[in-house]
Amino acid sequence: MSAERPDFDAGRNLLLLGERRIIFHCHHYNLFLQRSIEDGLGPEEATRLQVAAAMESARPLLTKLYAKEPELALVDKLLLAQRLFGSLGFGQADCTDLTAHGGQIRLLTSHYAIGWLAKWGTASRPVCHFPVGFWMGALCAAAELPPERLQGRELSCHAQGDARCLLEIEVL
Amino acid sequence: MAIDEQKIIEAVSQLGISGNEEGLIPAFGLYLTQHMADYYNRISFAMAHRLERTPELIDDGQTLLMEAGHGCAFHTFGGIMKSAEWDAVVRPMLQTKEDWVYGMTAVVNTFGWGRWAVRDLVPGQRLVVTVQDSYEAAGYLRDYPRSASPRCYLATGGVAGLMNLLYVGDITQGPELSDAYYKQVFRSPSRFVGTEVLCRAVGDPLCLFIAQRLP
Ligand SMILES: [Zn+2]
Repeated sequence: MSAERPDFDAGRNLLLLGERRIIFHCHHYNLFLQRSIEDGLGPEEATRLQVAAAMESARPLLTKLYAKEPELALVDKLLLAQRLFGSLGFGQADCTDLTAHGGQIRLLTSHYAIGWLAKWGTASRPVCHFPVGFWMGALCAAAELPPERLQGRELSCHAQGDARCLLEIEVL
Repeated sequence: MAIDEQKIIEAVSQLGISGNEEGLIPAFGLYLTQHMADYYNRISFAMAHRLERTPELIDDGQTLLMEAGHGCAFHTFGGIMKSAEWDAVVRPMLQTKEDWVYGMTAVVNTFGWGRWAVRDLVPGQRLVVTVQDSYEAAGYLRDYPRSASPRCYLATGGVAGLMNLLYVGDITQGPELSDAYYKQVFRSPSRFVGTEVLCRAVGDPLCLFIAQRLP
């Protein structure tokens, strides 16, 4: 499991995973920042930015982790992403429907949806932009797809009152 | 007893904070994430840059992002300083209110944010903190040209927020961290404001923050 745990350089206070910096933040900051980005840019552009930033962040990190285990099949790479998603605290994902041609990811729990509900109550729009981008980045890295071929969206969100969050990735 | 930063760092980093079977990290009364610095940096700097293109909005991005830092300090630092983990690991070393500043800074030095150090603390008046390897400045330097202004918004809000929790409110008394208490402390006329005086993103060797009371 240590492949999915960041290394801690205690002298410099650096946490590194897949050669990328990992930092602790709590749901108050994560959801406050998300709302601030919406306040600054408007909801549509803020959503696009957060999905793109999540994909940009997750893809190289997972590419590095996959490179350490080149024998892994696509399904095993996606399961690694699923374990990573959970160990980092983003929620419990079920990606068994996902293939190199796209598919859906169910979030049995979602940090962003739970955090939004706890801070602000029921949301008027889906809030799991980071998870959408994370899973686009994970599929892109695992199936070695050009990122331009992927589109992603959240079909239903726990923060809006749905039982579960459901994400969809389309491969053009 | 003095604050033993190494002991705090060892103890907190050995809590093995990681997602549970539900993929969540409940700790210190919060849901934590071990998140990607690249993500925070991209969304923060993209918004700041966009607003900077419109002269009357230049300061808005900084204001929004520093306010997010105040909220982080209030809930994260506040939650930690009220937690059972704090009581077990840090509280036995605390004698004065100032010790709480050093204790919290030691805990921050397990978050992956780069190394925080208190350079000067005047009780109730002023806090000066240096940060080596600030994730905000490092991310800025990697992806953008040298900045004309400091870029460590979270840390600027965080340093001011720590002083507010101790010397405007009083976190040592374990107050409820409610919206009303936030407003009382962070909107007080005698609240602390943070300034980033040195920043690696503008070419300085490290980042340096001063929190002092509103003039
Ligand atoms: Zn959701």
